[in-house]
Amino acid sequence: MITSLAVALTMLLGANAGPVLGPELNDAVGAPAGIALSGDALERRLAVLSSEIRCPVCQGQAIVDSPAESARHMKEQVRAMLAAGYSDEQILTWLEGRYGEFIRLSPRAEGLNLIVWILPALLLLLGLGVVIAVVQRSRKAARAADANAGLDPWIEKVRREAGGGHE
Amino acid sequence: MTALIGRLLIYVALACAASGALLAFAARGDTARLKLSRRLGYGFAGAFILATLWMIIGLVRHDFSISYVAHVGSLATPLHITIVSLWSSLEGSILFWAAVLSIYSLFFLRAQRGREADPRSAYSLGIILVVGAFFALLISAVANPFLATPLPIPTDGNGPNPLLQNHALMIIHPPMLYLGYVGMTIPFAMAIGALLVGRTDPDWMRSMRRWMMVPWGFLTAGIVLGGWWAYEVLGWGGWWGWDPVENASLLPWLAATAFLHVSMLEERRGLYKGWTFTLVLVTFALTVLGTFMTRSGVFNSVHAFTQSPIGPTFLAFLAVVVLGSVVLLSLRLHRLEPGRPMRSALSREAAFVFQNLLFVSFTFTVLLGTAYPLVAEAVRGIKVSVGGPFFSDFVVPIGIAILFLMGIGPALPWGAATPREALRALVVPLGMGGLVVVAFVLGGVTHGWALTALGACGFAAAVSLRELAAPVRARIKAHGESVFAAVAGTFRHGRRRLGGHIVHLGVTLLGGAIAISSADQKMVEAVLHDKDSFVIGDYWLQYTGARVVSEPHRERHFADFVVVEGTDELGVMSPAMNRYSAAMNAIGTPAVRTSASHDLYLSIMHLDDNEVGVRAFINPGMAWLWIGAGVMLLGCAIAVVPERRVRPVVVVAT
Amino acid sequence: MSARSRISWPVLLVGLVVVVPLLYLFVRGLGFDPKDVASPLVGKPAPVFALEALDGSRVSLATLRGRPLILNFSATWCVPCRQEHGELVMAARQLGASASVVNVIYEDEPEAMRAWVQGSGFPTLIDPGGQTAIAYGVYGVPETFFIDASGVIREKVKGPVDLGRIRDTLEAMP
Repeated sequence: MITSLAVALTMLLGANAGPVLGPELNDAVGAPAGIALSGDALERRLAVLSSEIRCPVCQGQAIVDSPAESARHMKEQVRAMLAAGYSDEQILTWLEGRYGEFIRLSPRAEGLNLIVWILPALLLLLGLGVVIAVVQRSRKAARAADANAGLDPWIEKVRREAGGGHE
Repeated sequence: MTALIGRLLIYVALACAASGALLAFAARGDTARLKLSRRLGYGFAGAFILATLWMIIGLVRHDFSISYVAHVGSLATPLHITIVSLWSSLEGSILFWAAVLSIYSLFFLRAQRGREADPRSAYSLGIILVVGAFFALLISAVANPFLATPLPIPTDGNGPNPLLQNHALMIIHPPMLYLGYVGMTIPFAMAIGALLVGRTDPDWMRSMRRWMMVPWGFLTAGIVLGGWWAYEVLGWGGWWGWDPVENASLLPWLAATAFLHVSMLEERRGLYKGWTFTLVLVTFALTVLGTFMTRSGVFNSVHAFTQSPIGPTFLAFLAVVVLGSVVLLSLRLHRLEPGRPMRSALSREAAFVFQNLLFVSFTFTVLLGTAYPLVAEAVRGIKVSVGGPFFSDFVVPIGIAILFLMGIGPALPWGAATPREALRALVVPLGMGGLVVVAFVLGGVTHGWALTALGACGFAAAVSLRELAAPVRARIKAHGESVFAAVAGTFRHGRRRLGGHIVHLGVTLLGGAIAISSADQKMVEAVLHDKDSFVIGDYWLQYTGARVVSEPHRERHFADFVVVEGTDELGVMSPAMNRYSAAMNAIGTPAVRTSASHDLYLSIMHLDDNEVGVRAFINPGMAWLWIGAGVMLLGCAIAVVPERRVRPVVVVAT
Repeated sequence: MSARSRISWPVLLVGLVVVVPLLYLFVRGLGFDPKDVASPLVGKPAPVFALEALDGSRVSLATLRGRPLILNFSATWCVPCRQEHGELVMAARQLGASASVVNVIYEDEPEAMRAWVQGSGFPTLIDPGGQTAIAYGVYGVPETFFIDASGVIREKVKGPVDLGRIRDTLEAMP
């Protein structure tokens, strides 16, 4: 029953393609660059893509999750475009041309946005370097302390009491 | 008149806090001054608690001469909602915050009894009172709930925000969050106290750690309750949206968790005192930042209803806190004694260090993602969104790595392990993890990340279970105790360790539930007329009609569905749309049927006389998410209760 | 216990490098409105549409070319839209043939709108599937697009417009 509903909706939209599916769309993003999807493949692709598109009237939800009418209409639009064979990038580009970059829930990885994509990984790598250096230095210090420890128990005691550490 | 009394109480609190703080810092060992500052501390706390009670009384009596009551009160609102409307809007929330701080201060004052001679104790009290004075000032000057309502005094009001009335969870979620957030002021004050004096010792660190554990537990509860609220109320089938305000609550939790772990390293070997203190300061700073994010109006959020004029004030407070912390830390770092160096990379110490690295990464990523839209707007002048997909991309691998470390850490010994010892400690749990993966693959899960996460959870759970059993087995072998006595003995003498491993176990349940519910969720959307039906998974659902239930403050429109699984009729599920008199849009309540393996979840998209638009989900493993969180809280509660320490007795030779 | 204070410069520097930009960012942020998203369509040709009006006639962008167009999206459930409606009616009357006013229904029932827009003096269009609203990047209602005689969008106004705003915007158009 659900599949027939989806098919009916697609046909309805196709009949009233209106301002979206048409020559203007091809002017904006080029001819369909993907493959025309249908059935389960279409639904799966739609679920993934619409989780990256922001609902314009909600607070931060994706159109895949939002019950708002405008979100559902947008989802139908995206479904029609996927069925017509447009690629994810083309659909997102088209939506960005209407709504601005705000409509994408994951920022484009280019220009200034690279900050948000690269910095976390960079920090992790940097941190890893710091941690490894710290561990290495610690091990060296521990070995040095071991080497000196056997020398003179009194000096070791003084060192321990003066240099801190517990237990 | 009643409003005036409230305002006076706030002024009293301000006076006590300000003078108490001054005395605490200027005391310099003068016991009389210190005693007085403590009394003023009690005075501050008492005044705020009284003011809050006064506000609650005003709300219950519908005293519309008080501005806040006129703002959120309504004769039609049920009593329990009226009491809870204390935190439904900004001014009351800030008052509630101050009340929670006062309660924590009372406990702190009592715990510090007899420690007046310790300058750190005095300085900590001073810091707490400075924060208290800030809030008193904020309330009296910027966001005062006790203003006099301008004449003519209304006879009724609009009532609190409808969302507050939609679900019982809204009654407990904010208080839990506040108990978490506000509680982090105490360890912060203790850290500043220790840094100002330039001296720290195991007692102080242990105490600071315990004062962090309590708010950590409350914050965990608050965050999970928020997720449960999103799941039960917002109806989109999910429980976490990476909304800026959600992130604001997560950030201090992450920093506090990092602190709780590295402080164990500090306690054992005296290592990384500077970093330990940094984390405490960062945790508190993040709570201030979180409040700023929630209430400043700068961020797009589901919590947007709490926008307010206190943004600039909080930003100034944040600036003082972070700049002061940085300067103080840099001035006092050299006074902190270094610890005994780590011997080996194959040790629990090293695992703790790596864990901290991952948590810092996690925190940084969430903070960056949340703040980046501001960067983009400041530099490029356009708005960008950073939402779920971005955060998931980073958080999933970091989270899985953390889960693995959670298993590796406890498995490795303190000090050093040879590769052979390490392997021997890890091989059985790794095997368990592998078995878990196989089990889920056989169960039909194909999602790569989910399987990895589930394997990590299985591995970490195996380690935790072994660590929980180890002391019990040791006691049985050593003392010949029965299992029961051994467990009781472990509980009596090894609570912190016991609680910690229980928390870890809870995390594995939580992590596993998150993994499986994200990977395997089924969703069906349908538009139905009377007697229409649809299928999802093994369930067959039929729409049997709509009905309306009127309550004094809202109208509930239910859609009834008969649910059949296989051949069993399971009854009726009734998701609803609630229309409140004060709000334009209806708010939905989903219907959820929970079982051990999955949730059947129905939410209404639209409902009118002819048809209902419904979304149905099958969410696997959701029950384990909440169970896991509960186990975490149980572990925290066990770990927090202090053990009776043997006090050394001085024996004087005669 | 050392009597002198020694500063750890690395800590101070790292701390300031992390903290100061963040604080600056939030100060700037206080000046932003998180709900105000600029339209990328300003300065671009208006997306074409061909829709049916409530009175049955067909209105398309092509038929409206040649003079400035005020394209308004509204709905009955939106309170500011109702307030704005009167202003639009007055504008249509005053502008006469010098500019067109067109209203598009956003997420609402045509029948509900019918009663409201009776005698407004300008067509109200039905937008099936919300496609025109999507094509124009509508974030909510009311939103009004000012399109010049050659079909280029000159301005987008979020929130209700009044007569003064309409007149000023039309005058400013090339």
